[in-house]
Amino acid sequence: MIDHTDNDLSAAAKALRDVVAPALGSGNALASQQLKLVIEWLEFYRSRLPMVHDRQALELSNQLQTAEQVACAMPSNETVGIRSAIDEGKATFAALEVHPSRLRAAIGRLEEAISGAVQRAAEFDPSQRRIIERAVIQDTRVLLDAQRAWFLPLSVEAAPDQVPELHTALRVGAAW
Amino acid sequence: MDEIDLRDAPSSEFIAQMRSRFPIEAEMDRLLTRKMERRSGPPYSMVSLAQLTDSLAALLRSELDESFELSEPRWLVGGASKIQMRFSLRWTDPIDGPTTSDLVMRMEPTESLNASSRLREFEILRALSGSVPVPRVYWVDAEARWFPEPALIYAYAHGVAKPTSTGGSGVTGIGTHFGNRLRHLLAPQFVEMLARIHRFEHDGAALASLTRSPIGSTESAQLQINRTRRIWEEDRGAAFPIMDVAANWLSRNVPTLDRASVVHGDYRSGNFLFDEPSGSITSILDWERAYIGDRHRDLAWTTARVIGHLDEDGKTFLVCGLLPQEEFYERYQQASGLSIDPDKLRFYEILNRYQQVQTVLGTAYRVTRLSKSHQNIVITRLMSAAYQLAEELRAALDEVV
Repeated sequence: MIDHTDNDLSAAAKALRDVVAPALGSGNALASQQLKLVIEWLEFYRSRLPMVHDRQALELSNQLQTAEQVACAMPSNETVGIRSAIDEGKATFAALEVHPSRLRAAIGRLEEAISGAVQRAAEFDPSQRRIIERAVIQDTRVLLDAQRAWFLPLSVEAAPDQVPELHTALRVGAAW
Repeated sequence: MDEIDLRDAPSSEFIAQMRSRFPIEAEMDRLLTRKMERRSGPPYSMVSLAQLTDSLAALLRSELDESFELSEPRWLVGGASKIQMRFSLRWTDPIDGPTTSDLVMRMEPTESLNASSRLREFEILRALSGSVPVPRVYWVDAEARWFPEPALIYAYAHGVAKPTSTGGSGVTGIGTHFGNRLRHLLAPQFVEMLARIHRFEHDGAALASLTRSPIGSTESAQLQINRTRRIWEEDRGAAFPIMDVAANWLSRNVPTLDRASVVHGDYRSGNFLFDEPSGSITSILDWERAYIGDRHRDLAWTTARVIGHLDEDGKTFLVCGLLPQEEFYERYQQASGLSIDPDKLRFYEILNRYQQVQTVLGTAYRVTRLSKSHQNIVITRLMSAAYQLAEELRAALDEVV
């Protein structure tokens, strides 16, 4: 499923800039000034969101490098704490190897491949086709639960209490 | 990623492929082809009231022999897809004589959440006048000769879309809470008017832009499948395999047409106005999705979960926030004398969910990505409902596949 975060932030900034700002006019200098700052923040984070991962990965890498040098220079009987932090940091860095853009591309390739297979399945033997279609129907539920939980504060769910809690839906903390 | 780029600036080959793969009604084909041919053009740029007033004056000079005076132009908000300007026109009405009319200009943005025909809307409103409460239509600029985009001029309809006291609702009137008094007043009218629309004798009506498919054939339903599938393929940002499962199922279960009715296409709370003190429906709006086809399309649309809400007991689902589903069906059959076929209802439930996901996930994504609408921020908000609709589609498929 498409990630529309970029569109959302762009549309929010555009609405403020093209519709709200002209309506404010010059009569309220404080509101105009703060509106300008809000637009700048939205556009700033829109431009930076794709690099959040890189920013944190760089920081982790840099801290690991520094910590290694510091640990080497310390008396060995005083390095238990910093060595533990280094080990945890290294393990975390190893798990960071997939960049979000590659993750998104891989998801997209899989979606296109599954989509094409389902389309071709229309010509398959009915039992074979059904296996493919049932797999999509069953597995899509997990993704939709996650998206509904994610957007719940903005959505118009008829029965919001039936939407899974966000941490549960995203399987936060689950061992993948 | 190549496919996504292709949809931002579609080649003539891509456009031809879509037209060939998904044959649709001639008027819809004209609209969608125009949309795709203009897609790589500039984004929507703000139109001022002064610009629209100039366009309006130019149209009126071409239509009216006598002098006229335009005044009080102002924006009219509501809905996510069209630009609307309210204004006053002092003129000599051929029916009412010298008068000042309270009117609305309704125009497409550069690219709309629903690519729809102002000509078709004009013809439908003109045809149904006197049969159900609809705004009187005056002029149409179907080819954007006077306005920046195709536009329609019709009477301003008085009334409210939701109660001023209890009417919490989301964007575009979805999920309106009417309260107990209004529910009981509005529900019978709401159902009875739908029945009247479906029983409307349209054979002699001037509806040239609407296709009349033969009764006893599957053509009407197939054209609707093709239309929404074509738009999904033209607009989507990513593949979504559940949509392909739905398309397969729809293609295997195309129903025949037993009676050709005028179908409103978006019959729900938020799309009718009422007089709050009396609880009388004063006008049915937003006919842009109307066509001639199967009444089950409307019945399935109106009963969608996302449009209604639960009663105060937290258990009973109220269609459009007005009445329980079974009561809705019973009242409709009594009022119309028309039957409800559960298989056809199921088909159109799934087709409608497909179309809703197509609109709020596929088209909404493309329109906001390319900044083609004046309502990008409203459209992005609507996208938050996409996954509830997709779950309804998935759950419905889970029962039938």
